[in-house]
Amino acid sequence: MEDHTEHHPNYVLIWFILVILTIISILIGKYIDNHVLKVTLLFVNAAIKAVLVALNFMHLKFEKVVVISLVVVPLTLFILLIFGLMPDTLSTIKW
Amino acid sequence: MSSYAEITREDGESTGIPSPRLAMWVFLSSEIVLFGGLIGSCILFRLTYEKWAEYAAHVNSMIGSINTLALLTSSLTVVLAHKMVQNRNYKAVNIFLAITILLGLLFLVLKGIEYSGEIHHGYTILKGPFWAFYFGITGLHALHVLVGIILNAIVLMLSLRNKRPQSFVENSGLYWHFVDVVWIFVFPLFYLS
Repeated sequence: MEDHTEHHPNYVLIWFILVILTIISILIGKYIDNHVLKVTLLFVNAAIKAVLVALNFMHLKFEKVVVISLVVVPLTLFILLIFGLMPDTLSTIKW
Repeated sequence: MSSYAEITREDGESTGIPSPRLAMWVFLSSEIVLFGGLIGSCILFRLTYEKWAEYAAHVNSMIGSINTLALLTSSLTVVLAHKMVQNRNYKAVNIFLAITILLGLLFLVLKGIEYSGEIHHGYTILKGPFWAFYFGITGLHALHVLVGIILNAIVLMLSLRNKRPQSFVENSGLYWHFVDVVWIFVFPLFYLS
């Protein structure tokens, strides 16, 4: 049976990048006033961090298609939820 | 004719993925739906709720930042524990697992202090939509941290008794990383936005 975890990325480097991205998110929260821009930047930053953890710490980049689909399918549902409800949100949002 | 045990084993291995790891990913898939729904609806609500930032100013962003660092570091230690199992360096495995558990406990203690301060100032789950989302999502996440600590403690105890299946460390680690990923979204939602 294949053991995908024979490959090990540089975990300390990944952790360091995650800490730097966290510091950037704190600065975004502190210095950007426009709430739509702030929320967008904060969640793009969070998504990058989540992808780094999933690919490297959870070894998703070494996994087979069946496991990747177990992550992609619910994430697609999540994105559908966001975009499905977005028109309602945009109609009430105050820019 | 194959026996039931053989069929089950063959089925489990037909994907080429060890069954315990596949089962953990199926479980995590359901967790993505749970937290994705909660966090997604919360993000949409935040965009339309003008008083969000006003209420968010009352949460302790210093504790939130320390907790973020604690969980990120614990993700590092748990993946290093997994690497050390493969290297058969069991002393290092125990040390990394113990650090992971301690960082998880630090997270819960700080969260408890934070909750205590907020409740003391009258901000309870019934105070309004922000606090309902805040206590609901962070409380559910804290429950997951507690389960992760228990899982890692069981793996550490087994390791100390010289029972060290690699899959135990790997799967409790997968769960722990997921808890970290959830916090990566919860932190900006309540503490920074």
